[in-house]
Amino acid sequence: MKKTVWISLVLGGLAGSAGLAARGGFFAVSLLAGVAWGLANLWCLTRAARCVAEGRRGFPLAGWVVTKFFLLYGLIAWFLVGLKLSAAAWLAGFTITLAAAAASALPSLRGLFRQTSKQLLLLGLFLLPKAAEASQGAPGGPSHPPEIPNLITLITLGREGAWVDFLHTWENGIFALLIALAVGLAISLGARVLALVPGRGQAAVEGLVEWLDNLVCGALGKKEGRRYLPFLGTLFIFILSMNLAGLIPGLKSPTSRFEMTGALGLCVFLFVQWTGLRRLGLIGYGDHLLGQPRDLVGWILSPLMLFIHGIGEIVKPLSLALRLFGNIMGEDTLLGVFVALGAMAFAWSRLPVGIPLHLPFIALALIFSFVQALVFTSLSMIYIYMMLPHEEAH
Amino acid sequence: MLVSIPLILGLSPVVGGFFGWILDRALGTRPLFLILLLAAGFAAGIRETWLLIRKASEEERRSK
Repeated sequence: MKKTVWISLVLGGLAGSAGLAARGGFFAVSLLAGVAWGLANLWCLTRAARCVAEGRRGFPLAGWVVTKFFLLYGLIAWFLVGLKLSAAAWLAGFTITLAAAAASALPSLRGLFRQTSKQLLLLGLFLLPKAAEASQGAPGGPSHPPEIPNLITLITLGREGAWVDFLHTWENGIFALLIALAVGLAISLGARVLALVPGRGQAAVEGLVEWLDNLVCGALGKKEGRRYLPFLGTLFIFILSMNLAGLIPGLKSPTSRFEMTGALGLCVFLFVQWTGLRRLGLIGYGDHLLGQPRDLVGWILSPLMLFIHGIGEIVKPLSLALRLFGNIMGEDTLLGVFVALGAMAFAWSRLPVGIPLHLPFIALALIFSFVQALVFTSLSMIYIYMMLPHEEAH
Repeated sequence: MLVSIPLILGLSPVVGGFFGWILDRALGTRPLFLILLLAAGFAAGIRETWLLIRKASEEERRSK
């Protein structure tokens, strides 16, 4: 907080004097007012956060929140409308405070920023060819991001007919089904004859299941963990194998399309709601959705809480689906682009040689496949955990 | 786990606004539900973030 105040005061002073020289006193005053407003805002927010952290939920917390919302936003209106200060300069001043606050909170936010920027970078890599395509006015047909050609594209290359359309439409479903069959076969073969001294196949399956068991039981507790391990473990294994399938020549990652990840997200959504209904009962589930009204204020707020909870329940699986889809598509597109680049590197020589430019990205894809499957599973786990009957956060 | 915060914060108002828009179109009450559900979406995003952070810090405390 102290650091934020100093940074924003110094920056605000510099910007204010620059504004004084360039635009006149009016601009400078507006800018300084923006800085002061931002600082006051931040102060109220930190006090409110401290109240929450120290467990003082009652009057002090309400006081800070009310101060922040009414007094401070009233101040904006008064400054901008009553005193007719410059809105742009105000915004600039406020941005300075915001940047200062972000900068002083940076050590803890760095990981978050890194992750977000990585996702943005991948999205950009996907959008770049799209943008180029759009600017060239590519002729019709559904445009897909560049990918390594898979078995179905190779079979149907240059052919036409209903079966070609069918294969392309159901491409992702077909591959997902194939992968599910292969994984199911592999695991059931590994666990077919359970020996006391496990062979190689059995050891691998056992290791995987044990690791998942530890993961789920560590977060949900032994009793609840065992109950939800089958669903979560299946999710993890299925998603991981679908992600990794993009690295096998001839296969593709079904998770690189939103149809597939959306379906997975829908499964999680339905499973979580079903869990809520089953574990809380119909009344308990309704109570949970209404925000557990216990007094008059609670009942008055309950219609609003219904909306808030409903949106929250929808957003959680949707964000899961979008993240998985974005990451895997970005990864596959990256591989596809670099394979194409490497293949075209010696095109001028008309020799059948290329450079495996995509090799470093295979390592990246391996890590990403694993991390994304893990993130999907552990977040689903948390959504289930939030639905289970226990003390609710309010 | 905390990785999902930006996505949830950003998506919630979008989902809220979308449902508000649909309700408005069905009932012809534009822009009543759009605004209401947009606000609810913001609130939902903040609430989910808060719960996620709480769960994360809980787990951190337990692992210590």
